[in-house]
Amino acid sequence: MEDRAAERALIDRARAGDQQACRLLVEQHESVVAATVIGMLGRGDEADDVGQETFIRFFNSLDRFRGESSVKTYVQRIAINLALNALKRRRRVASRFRSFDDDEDPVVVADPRADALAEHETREVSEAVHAALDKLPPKHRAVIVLRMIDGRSTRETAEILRVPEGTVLSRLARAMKQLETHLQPYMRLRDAVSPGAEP
Amino acid sequence: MNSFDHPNAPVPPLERLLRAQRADAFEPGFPDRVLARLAGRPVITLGKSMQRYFAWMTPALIAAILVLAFLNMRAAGRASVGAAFGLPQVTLATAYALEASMGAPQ
Repeated sequence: MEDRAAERALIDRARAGDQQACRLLVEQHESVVAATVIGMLGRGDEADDVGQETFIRFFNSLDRFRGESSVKTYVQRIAINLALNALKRRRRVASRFRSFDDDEDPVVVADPRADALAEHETREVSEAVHAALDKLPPKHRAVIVLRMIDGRSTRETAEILRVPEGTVLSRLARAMKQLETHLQPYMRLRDAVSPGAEP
Repeated sequence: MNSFDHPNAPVPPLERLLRAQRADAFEPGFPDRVLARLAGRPVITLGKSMQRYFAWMTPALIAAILVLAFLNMRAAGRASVGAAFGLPQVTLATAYALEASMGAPQ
């Protein structure tokens, strides 16, 4: 309750043009926007740009923000929609340059041998996960990012994506099945290296 | 349902892999970049500066091309595409000369 009141006060200050309040809002919600946008697009200039655009849209729509959902949910909804738009743009551009054969390509996952893991494990695994995420339809990827990477509940994910909870669950099941196929070697490897280890 | 709903349950390997991918921040200075953009100050990235240079240089390059084409046409004394590119005029005589120089049978 107190948090909500403090959030309202901060929003009111930002609405009045207080730069310090705007900075605080960005700092408070950078993490959730980064998790969403980088999860959807991967790291890079494009993700940074979409992250910035998320906050610009948020500040420009402060007059319409009535506090029905938390700022976190509101900002994350903007972030996921902008990331989905960016993915559409990216696919449109890629389709102009892609040959028909490319559609047949499976996910390229490097052969994970234990000796190759020592130094590059994290990066290699990260690349493999992003390659597998790239192969998911954007709407499925959004569910994975919100539900599995950011740890939102099914209800929250449905609220952010404005779809029924059943849709979230079915997209999640299909996406997880696909990811499991692509990332099986890494899952086995991780278990062998650090059984039961938490990230 | 997944392990986020049951914090004490063991985390399946795929969930563990995915959770480990959570990015917590953008590159350093992100709030500054947002505030600069909010204040209307343009944030110059490499891509944007290259676009700007391209926009500046394009009119100058087009002007240079037009001037060279005009000079070529004036030097050639004719107003054709070939003259604009500074290509020699093809006549029956030049065609025969080219054939002869390549050693073709007469």
